[in-house]
Amino acid sequence: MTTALEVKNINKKYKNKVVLNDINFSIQSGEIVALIGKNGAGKSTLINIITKLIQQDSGQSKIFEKEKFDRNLIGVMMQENISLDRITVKEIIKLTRTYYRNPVSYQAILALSELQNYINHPMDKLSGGQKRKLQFALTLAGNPDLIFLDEPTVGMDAESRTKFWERIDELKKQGKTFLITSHYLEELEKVANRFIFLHNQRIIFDGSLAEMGKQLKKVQVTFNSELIKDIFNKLPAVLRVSELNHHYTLITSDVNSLITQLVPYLSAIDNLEIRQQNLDTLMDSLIRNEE
Amino acid sequence: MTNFLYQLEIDFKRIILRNPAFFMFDLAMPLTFYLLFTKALPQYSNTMQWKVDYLVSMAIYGILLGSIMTVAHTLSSDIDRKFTLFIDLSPFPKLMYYIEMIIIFEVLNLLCLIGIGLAGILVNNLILPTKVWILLLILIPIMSLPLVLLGILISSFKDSNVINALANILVFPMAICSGLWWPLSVLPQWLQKIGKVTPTYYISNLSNNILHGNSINYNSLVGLIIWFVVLVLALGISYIFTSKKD
Repeated sequence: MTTALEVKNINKKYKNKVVLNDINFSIQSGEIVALIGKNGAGKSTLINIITKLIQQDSGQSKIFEKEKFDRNLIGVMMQENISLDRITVKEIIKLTRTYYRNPVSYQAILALSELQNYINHPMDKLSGGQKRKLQFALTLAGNPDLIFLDEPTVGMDAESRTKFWERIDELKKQGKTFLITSHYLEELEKVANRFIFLHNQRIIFDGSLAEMGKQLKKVQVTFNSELIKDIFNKLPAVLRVSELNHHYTLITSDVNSLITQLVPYLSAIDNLEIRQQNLDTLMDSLIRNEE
Repeated sequence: MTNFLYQLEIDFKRIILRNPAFFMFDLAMPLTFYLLFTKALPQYSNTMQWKVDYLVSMAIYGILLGSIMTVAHTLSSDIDRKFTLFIDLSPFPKLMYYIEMIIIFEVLNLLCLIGIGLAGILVNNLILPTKVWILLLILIPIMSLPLVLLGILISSFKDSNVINALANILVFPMAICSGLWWPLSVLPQWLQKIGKVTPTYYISNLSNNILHGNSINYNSLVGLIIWFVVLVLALGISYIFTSKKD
């Protein structure tokens, strides 16, 4: 089991403002890790440092325990699609293959892009979704073992997204490692086995979704009700209430007490559900803990 | 090696073969000027010698356009279209990208030279010893290398608006004060002094040496070599500077 990525004491300042503060983590082969955090948290900067597009102020990162950084081992699916003019799909695939030591076959890359009927099409005339799929295929052209996905499914329709994550799963079974940034938290919940949460320039959480839930010990209780928010705010077991269009979400660390406290109001409550928090609310809770 | 050659092939196709627009742009303005002064305003151009000299001036002007505007535009377009980022993330060395781009731009310059030269010869029935034409066809592209490097230096500014603005600011004043559009003698003294240190002036001067069978002006030769060295250093510094910061 090799360490696919090791990040030690990475610090980065930009114009006297700290962007990354003592970042440490390591990823083993075969993991699918999600890097999450609000906009401006430093996710892109961290990825740019790891992929050696920019330099850190101090600290180091290593890929597959190698002293020398080798771009043949990584694939980076950029957030924006490459859209070169006057060049066809066939040509860009063949060109990309020449960049790598052990590229995947032309047919395999073409199959991944699902653009078999567009090989002579200029790549900049493809639709947004097609460009994204091509981008993904080109990312894998070099048969990389460590793959960075930056907002991978933006611009894809629902069906393409599902297929995309199925492909990722297949690749993971082949032993490939993924580090993903995405704002589509519902997707990440289903796919990633580990979450690294970047907030205020530091890692405030690193672990699985279950660990996140356990650490916070909080549960969501949701229902619909015409009653006013104040009623639920006053319940002792309630930590937090949010309401949108009569749909209530209550956060509590003591489910049994809360249910007991809700009993008097049961006749005015519909669709009562108790669930583990999802990534969205867990992240919110973690942030509140920090502040 | 295969990756270098395939990159060269693809770039030749997308920048030259499939790109008649730029080719026309680099040819159109110089040719228009040439036709204007030799056909429409014949009082300026009564001798055959003048017609040949002016053709060479316009050819160099075309190369100036190609080397700065086309180079800057192509490289900044590659940045905007995320191709540069794509290459940065791949194992293909950035230096190789720049080297094969320089080769492509030199080919573009050569084609530009041939285009303007042929048009000029046909339009005005110019006659010149083949040896001189061949010498010019070989040497002018080599001499224009500093201009291509200047184009690359401009493109390192990353913002395509800044790049286009810089290209425009550089090209037209340089063309004028190095005596390409009209003779230096019509310009004020102080402008002539500036003009005489521009790379285009040196190229123009050396081309005229070859054209008229005179001995090489060593001032111009050394001047051009200095420009080349300065620009290579400037590119080196700019590369180090941008790879350190954000």
